[in-house]
Amino acid sequence: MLQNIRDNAQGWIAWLIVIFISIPFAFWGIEEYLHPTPKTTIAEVNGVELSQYDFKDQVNQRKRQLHAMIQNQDIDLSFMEQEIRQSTLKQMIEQEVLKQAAINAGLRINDALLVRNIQSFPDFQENGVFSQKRYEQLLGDRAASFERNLRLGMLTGQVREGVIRSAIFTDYEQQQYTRIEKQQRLISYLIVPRSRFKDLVSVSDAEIEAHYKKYATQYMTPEKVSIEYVELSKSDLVSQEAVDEETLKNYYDEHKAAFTKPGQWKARHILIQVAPNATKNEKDAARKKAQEILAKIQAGESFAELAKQFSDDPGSKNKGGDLGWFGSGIMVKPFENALKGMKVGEVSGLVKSQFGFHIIKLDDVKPEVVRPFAEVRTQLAEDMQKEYLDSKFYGKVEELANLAYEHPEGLEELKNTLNLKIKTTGLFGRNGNKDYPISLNPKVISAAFSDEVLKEGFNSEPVSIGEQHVVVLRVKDHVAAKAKPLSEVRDEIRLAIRQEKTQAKALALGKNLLEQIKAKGDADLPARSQNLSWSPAQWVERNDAKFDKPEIVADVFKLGRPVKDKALYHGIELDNGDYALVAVLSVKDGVKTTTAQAETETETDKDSNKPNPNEQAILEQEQAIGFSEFNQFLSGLKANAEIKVYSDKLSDI
Amino acid sequence: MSVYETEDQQVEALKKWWKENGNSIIFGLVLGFALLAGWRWWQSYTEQQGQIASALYEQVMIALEKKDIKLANKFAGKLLSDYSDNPYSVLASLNLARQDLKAGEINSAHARLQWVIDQNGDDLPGLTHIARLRKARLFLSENKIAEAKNLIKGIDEGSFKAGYAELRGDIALKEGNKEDARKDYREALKFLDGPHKQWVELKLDDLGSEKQTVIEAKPPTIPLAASVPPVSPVSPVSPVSPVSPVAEESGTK
Repeated sequence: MLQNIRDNAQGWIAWLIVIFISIPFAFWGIEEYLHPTPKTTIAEVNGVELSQYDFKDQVNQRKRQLHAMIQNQDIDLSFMEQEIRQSTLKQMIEQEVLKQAAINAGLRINDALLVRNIQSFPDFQENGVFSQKRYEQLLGDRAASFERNLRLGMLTGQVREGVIRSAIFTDYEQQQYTRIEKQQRLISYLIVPRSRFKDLVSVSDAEIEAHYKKYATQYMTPEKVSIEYVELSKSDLVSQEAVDEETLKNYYDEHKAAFTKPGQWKARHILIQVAPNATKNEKDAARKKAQEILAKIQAGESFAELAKQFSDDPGSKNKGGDLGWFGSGIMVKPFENALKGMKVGEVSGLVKSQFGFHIIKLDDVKPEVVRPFAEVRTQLAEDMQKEYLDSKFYGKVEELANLAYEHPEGLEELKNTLNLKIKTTGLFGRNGNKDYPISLNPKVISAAFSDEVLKEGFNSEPVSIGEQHVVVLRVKDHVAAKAKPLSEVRDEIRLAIRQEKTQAKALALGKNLLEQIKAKGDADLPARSQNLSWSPAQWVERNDAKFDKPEIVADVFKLGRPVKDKALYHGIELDNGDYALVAVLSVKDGVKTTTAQAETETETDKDSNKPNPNEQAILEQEQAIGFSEFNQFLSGLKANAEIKVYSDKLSDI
Repeated sequence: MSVYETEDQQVEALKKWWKENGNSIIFGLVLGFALLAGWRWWQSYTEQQGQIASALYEQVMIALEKKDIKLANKFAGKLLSDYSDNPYSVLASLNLARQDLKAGEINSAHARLQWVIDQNGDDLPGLTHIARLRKARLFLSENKIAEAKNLIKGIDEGSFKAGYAELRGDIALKEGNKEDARKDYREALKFLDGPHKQWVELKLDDLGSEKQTVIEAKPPTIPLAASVPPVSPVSPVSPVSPVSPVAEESGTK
């Protein structure tokens, strides 16, 4: 059989096989065969798999963002780990659902838009202009997947923005908003203080013991450890001897791009478009038209005017054909090649590209500038030194990690091999101990109390406690958490019980007063009978910072409106354990600031260039509503999608 | 299949088989390729249509950003006439409706939202709900309660339970039916979060969310009962400055 195939391999069978094999490529492209992605699936949306690999990537990205937000690289986020993962997964699924819905509905992002977006990334710019070289340097062979993801991101962004930015907040709603938000209430209150009952309650030993037993976990000494550790820091490493001239030169040649400011052109053009599927006649007509325009230019007519009149490039046409400054790799090849041969002020002949015929005028040139070796020599030497130390440091860290893993039972081997010192601390708990600065580092704490180190007694992995500064630690002594003796916490418990009891009495009296008010229809007598009095009436607004009892302010705005000659009474417990009776006497609705007032406000705000507060509030409300509409929109899409989550894969990254 | 004795026999059998089935195979292959080609053509066609509509939509949004309403309308006109069944037309209409409203052209805003509702696109059905809710809220703002009610009557609310419940609450409030409004706002709050939730909570609180536990009685007699409204509506000054002795006591507990 095989022999047969081999014999016929030169003949028609071979051709047939080749043709059949090539069919899938002809129709579905070659990409999927060249870039197989590692597939462990974490979730599926309508059969489209979301890979664990991407998930991991996104989780890390989310963590970096969080670190950047709180401006601290070393803070330990592990307490949020579960939350970060869940929300990342939710977001990935929603993104996928939205993407599929958008594509199925016929939404697309065209190349021009994608290019414009990429060019606007500051990371890909040099001196404010997009640089193809930089783009390729930064992304390398990831460019294709970057572009694909960006395109999808833009696509879903269109829907999100389209919904949120179009949200409205009607006149009536604005009125309501002002009426409620700027509302003021005239209130009075009466406090039943807890302290009133302090001599009326007693606490028995039996109660203390019962409390001690019931809340045993609250009365424990914390678990403590002491550690021994070795540390490795870049600052301990010895610098390299001076680098010789030749090595520096080589380094310079290798990194020339970093010292090169690429050349740029400023040019304008007139495009006479030729469709890709144009007939020969159409092509000839376009060429003729272009030649006529060129003749006019050569006869001295204004290039800019002609561009406005004839150019088929919508982007530059109205600017007189001006394309602004751009670097190498931006324009199509024939265009750039033509520019290279031109002098400033010169007008090209007809340049043929895939878009049609261009007539190009070069307005200005910034030549490529390479900083000479002599000028950057010092910097080079420093860079090399840094590179040398970095690689040496990371080499050592790797060695440290390996030794710590291979000899988990002690630090001796690490000390001897790498010539380090073993240091120790005294006891510290999960909050650290300020006598031993290293014990305050959250990563050190979580390593010291981790199962491997504390329970198994192994060395930790290298823990990074600063920039290029790592430690490996192990537990020296361990003091387990244990109950404090009753005698030590007796007073603490007595106080807690007293607090509970007085609070309960204040509550009971407060409720009783409310009952009396309800029964008698009068608030004076009950108060007087208990020797309590109502506070002077005062106006409060929402979020009133001048008023020192925020619980009362929050409560009075939830009680509705009193009718004439009546007040509304309500009772609440305050945070400090006192009980408060509140009375709403009158309500005054917020009124929209008049135009005149708004104008004076804008007058004073002129420098800050901000919309006036009223407008700002409305914009925020619009956003809030738009966001909520979008969420409802999204949950509709989700409800119609088939979503599977493999939650067992969620935790093992 | 039986075993053939010589190669000639094999070839003979193959030829015979081909004679019987050849035509149908060729026909099948041709049909298959035609279908495949047609499918590919359709794909590239929708791709192209989507891209053009997308570019137009972006132009509309850029023009709106620059407040160049004339230009926005020009691009939108083309988008809505040539690609009316593409959701980009719907997104553009929603954004233009907002612009109309800002410019005080409420009728035009109504027309745009109605256009979206009439499209009743089943590709992104949520967009129709969004347009309908906004239109009903516009009606309410114009005091056209019956029209607002009519618009949402018998609608399958889908995933927009929060939006419709809030709207029903707003309508009930306009009709003076506080009890229903409270019920509807509570319903809406079940599905909401974030700043919009706070807004609905505010509306609910204003109706007296703690109403059940509130007691109505004669106002207390207060030293200097200050029923005079504050001087400035923005920063009310307490008309009675001395702190009551009770408040002081509670501070020294």
